[in-house]
Amino acid sequence: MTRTEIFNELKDILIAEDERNRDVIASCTEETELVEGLGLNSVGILYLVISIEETFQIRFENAGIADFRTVGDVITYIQKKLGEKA
Amino acid sequence: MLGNREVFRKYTDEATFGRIRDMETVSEMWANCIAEYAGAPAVQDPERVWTFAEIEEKAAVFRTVLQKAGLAKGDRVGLLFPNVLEFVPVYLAVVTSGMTAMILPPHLDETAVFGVTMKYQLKAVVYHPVFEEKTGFAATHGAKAVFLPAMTEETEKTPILADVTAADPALIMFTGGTTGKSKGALLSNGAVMQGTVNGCYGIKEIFGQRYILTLPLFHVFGLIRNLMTSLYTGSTLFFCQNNKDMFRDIAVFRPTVLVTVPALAEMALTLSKKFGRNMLGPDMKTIISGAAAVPPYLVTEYDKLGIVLLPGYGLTESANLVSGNPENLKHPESVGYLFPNQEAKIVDGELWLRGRNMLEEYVGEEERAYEDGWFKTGDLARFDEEGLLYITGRIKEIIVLPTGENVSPAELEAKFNELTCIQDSQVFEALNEAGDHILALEVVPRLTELAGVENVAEFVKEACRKVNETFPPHLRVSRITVRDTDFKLTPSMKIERYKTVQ
Repeated sequence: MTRTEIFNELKDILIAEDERNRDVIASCTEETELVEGLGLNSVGILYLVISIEETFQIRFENAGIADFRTVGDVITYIQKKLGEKA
Repeated sequence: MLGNREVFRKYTDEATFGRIRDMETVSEMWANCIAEYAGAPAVQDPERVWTFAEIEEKAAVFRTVLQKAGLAKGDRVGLLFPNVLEFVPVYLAVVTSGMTAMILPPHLDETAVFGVTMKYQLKAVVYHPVFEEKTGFAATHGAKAVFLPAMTEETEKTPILADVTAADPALIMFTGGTTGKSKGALLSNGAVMQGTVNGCYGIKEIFGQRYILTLPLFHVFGLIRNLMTSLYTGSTLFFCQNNKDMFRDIAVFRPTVLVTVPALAEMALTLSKKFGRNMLGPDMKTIISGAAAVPPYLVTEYDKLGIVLLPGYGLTESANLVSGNPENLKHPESVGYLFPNQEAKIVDGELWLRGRNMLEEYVGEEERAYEDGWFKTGDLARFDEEGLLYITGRIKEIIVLPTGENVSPAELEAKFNELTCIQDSQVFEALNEAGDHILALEVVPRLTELAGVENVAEFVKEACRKVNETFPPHLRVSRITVRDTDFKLTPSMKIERYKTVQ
């Protein structure tokens, strides 16, 4: 998957998880911060991690979303994990 | 009002009900566990399974470690562990040696570990190797405790100390108390055992279950309702290593009971809807939920999945459980019936408690736990004619209107939360454009219930307005806001309340 494809998939996940925030998520960039920019709380973060793992069929292993600051950081990690699987 | 064991009899068959019996001490309970369930699996993680007998072998060795370190009955021992199997034999070794275990939250840094060691006069701190660095500061700055790693090469075994009574202290647990300041609540063996046994009432099948641990063990809900009741009932407790893996663990372990907070129960429900399968697995039968108000919606939605969600009420100071709902609950907004040996009365709306499960004192604090023999919870409550308990708010959260009238936000929020389109709500004091103090409401919509609704904000507002109109005029909110984002949560996953007038 290309970086853009992962980004779009991630936006879909975020919107599915938080429909109220659709406009903010749709216009977010790779620089958008997860907590400050998207308003995720601790359960929201846990929810997101589980959804990403289910959707991309990857494992976060020792890392958690809390270790990532921005949307771009998450995309980089997903891309790396998908690369390892290939 | 006095809790009555007989209230719960009809929810369990006679044979099972007869097996639920009071015990004086953790030592008595653990000796009984070894006798009855020796070869049964007691705790498990993704790689290991330890039977009751295997835990006792490790506990017996650790009693020797404690003894050789110069510790004796009555001494206080800090336990610094993540949620791992190794905690169990060490914790049992400490308490069944007649010592008092103080469960230290893993997030304490090294200076906090030092401070706690000094303040609570701990004679020893047993630590898991991953926290070794947190003990260095205390060990080199004059703390008079010995610091013992959980792993040992010792082989000599020491039996359970017989000379322990119900009055002997067993635990010190951190609590925010009713004043918000962190304190250590001292719980006797009798209190811990009452809390442990309380967890058995009102559930049809309680012995030999499979539990999953997703709550921290430094919290009474995790330690007593999850670990202790699981041990008492000869059940198996699976230690989830990371909550993000809980559903993967559930798929393999297939638990039958989940003890959790409402926020996680709601997350599991939403994920189940999103991925089109019951994420809690085909064997899950019971969810015990507490530590925050449980929206009635969760009870009815889980019922559709064939899972009974039982809201309860408890405090650190009450060794966890004060009251709980039995199966086939009829009033999901209630926190159930008082458990046996729990005495309660309501004074000026506030719930006061006393009984065998209650704390002895706050250790090292000037603040007294009791006034005239009663513990004041700070919670507003009422009983109905059937004896069911309802928590209606917190005294410290009471809003005093300029008219002098008192408003309990939680009581109003509970009414808004009964709407299925509402996920969370907060009622608070605000200023309108004219600078007048008003009551305001913010709500987080539950979008899974609003599919196909064109204007969500207006739909939700209208639903809230209808509820608002059922209140007496002085309790009605003057401003309703539908949020785009969730409320910020506290570390224990409760909504962080606004502390100032907005």
